[in-house]
Amino acid sequence: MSGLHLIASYPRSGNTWVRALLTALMRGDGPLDINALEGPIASDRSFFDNALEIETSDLLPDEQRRLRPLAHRAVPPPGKSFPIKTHDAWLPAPGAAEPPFPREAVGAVVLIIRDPRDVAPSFATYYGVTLDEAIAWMARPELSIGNSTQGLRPQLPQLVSSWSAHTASWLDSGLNLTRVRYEDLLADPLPTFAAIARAFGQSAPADLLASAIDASRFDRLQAAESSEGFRESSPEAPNRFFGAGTAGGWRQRLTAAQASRILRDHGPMMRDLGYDD
Amino acid sequence: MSGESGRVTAGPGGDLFLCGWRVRSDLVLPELAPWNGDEQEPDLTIRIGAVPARLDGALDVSPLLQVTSQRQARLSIDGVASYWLRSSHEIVVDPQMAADSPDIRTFLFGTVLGLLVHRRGLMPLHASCIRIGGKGVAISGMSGAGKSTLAAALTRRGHALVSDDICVIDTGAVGGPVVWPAFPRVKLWQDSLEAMGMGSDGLEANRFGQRKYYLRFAGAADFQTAPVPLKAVHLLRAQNVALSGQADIQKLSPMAAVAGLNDQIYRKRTAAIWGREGELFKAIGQIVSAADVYRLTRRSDFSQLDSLLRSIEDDAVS
Repeated sequence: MSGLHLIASYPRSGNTWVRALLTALMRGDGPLDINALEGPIASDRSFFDNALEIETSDLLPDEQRRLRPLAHRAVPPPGKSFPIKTHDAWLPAPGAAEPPFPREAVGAVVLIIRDPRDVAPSFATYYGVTLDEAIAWMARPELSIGNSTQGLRPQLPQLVSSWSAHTASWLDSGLNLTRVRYEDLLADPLPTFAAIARAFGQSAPADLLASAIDASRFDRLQAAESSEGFRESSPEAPNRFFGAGTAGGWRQRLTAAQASRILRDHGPMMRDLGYDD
Repeated sequence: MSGESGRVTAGPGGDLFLCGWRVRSDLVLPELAPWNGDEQEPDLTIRIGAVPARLDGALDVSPLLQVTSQRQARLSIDGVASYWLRSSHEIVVDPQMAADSPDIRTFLFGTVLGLLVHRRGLMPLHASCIRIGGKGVAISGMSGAGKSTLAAALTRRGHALVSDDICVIDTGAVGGPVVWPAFPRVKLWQDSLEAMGMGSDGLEANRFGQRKYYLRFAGAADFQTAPVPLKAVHLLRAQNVALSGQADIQKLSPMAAVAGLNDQIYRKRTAAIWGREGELFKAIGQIVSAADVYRLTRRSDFSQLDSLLRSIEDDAVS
């Protein structure tokens, strides 16, 4: 299957977990080194510096957003590569004429979706904000991450948008897309992970899938992070990247008002996805 | 200014020094030291003039950059300028804003300089360089790794800046690889300035509206222009957290050093199109056999900066 392979998700929705699963599947048996996960990050500045032959740190934010999709045209995707992680919405960012990847370059997308009520507490921890702030951010259509204002960030700016708009943008994209609910991956990992692997053209026998699932269990990821550290953890929450990895934790974490605010912000999309209990 | 004749006369300050070249420029280049060398013809002329929209036989390396097999290049930044690397002796700049804007020099001393260095057969490493005890110490890494910040912090400890962002290495020099000094200026973001207890008041912005600034050291006239023997290269990376069992400074094996340096060749895609891969591979071999190459890991927030600086100093004089 040619073209870019994308693991798309809202932040804190299981993207890194899926990378861990795919890395474990690729490497075969044995414990997983969480500091050597495979897979490029879509907004990685060094890719664009290399593709554009310019320091993107010398470009203004609108210029960077305009050039992001164009850079993928300058450097055609390699024939076979590990799926790319992205938190971008499938929307043209301010200054850009199209979404962050050229449509014709995209081969396959796996969209990971998680109940926004579980996203919110994890989002608050990762970005070092209060729960109420996290909930407010997740409702903002213009939400963008990776912005360099006072200093340089290792990522280019990414238009993430609100949880609803992000999810809708991918679901309505018309791309070759496989939709995966985080909750289904937790509850029924084998067939769900098999579908992910298949979407990326990596069908594998059940025993290999099962051992990758075992190597990527949240308790193992958490234990590795607390003993070794995790280089992808955020400055706001050092070595607290991997949470409990549960579904429905929001019932303990959110107040009734917070839960109903999320339902008010995202109700229609939540109901479509079965997050309406 | 040169006008239509294309003839560039020395500016009021006279000719300038850049990487060992005598430079005559239409553009005001306040970062550069004056030329104090021999009475020779300029090695490089920077002219303000028209730049063709399309170079003959050009290949589009990126939406911003055309190159030709004759090793010409055209870089275009909308609203700033177009740049034409016409030969190894001539750059034509067509400004789209006031010609003395720093924005124009940002790209002139970036991609355009890097391509000129390739064109002149030298090695541009993506690195800043500092002179410590008479030896060159290069701090290399991708944007955001912290090259300029470490370089600026080392100058505050009494060492001289040799170059920022592009480290021009002549690996064929008698006695081993040398670094050609560029100019005494680094580019720093607001947060780095603040981490060093400085502000941005009065500094020129790298781009209009951007909180990244030009920090110039001392008078350009005091800049030491002699080439510096390359003693060490630190391949720098930033990391949010400490990982267990990972040293901040780790000397690399020759094989790891070759791979690490190869990653940091400046404007590598154009160099490959220009057929330089073999030469550059050989140059890297010469660097690895003459200089120590380290992997240097820093915290993203620049905590423990002082101990890192001391280690760099210790390794430079060992």
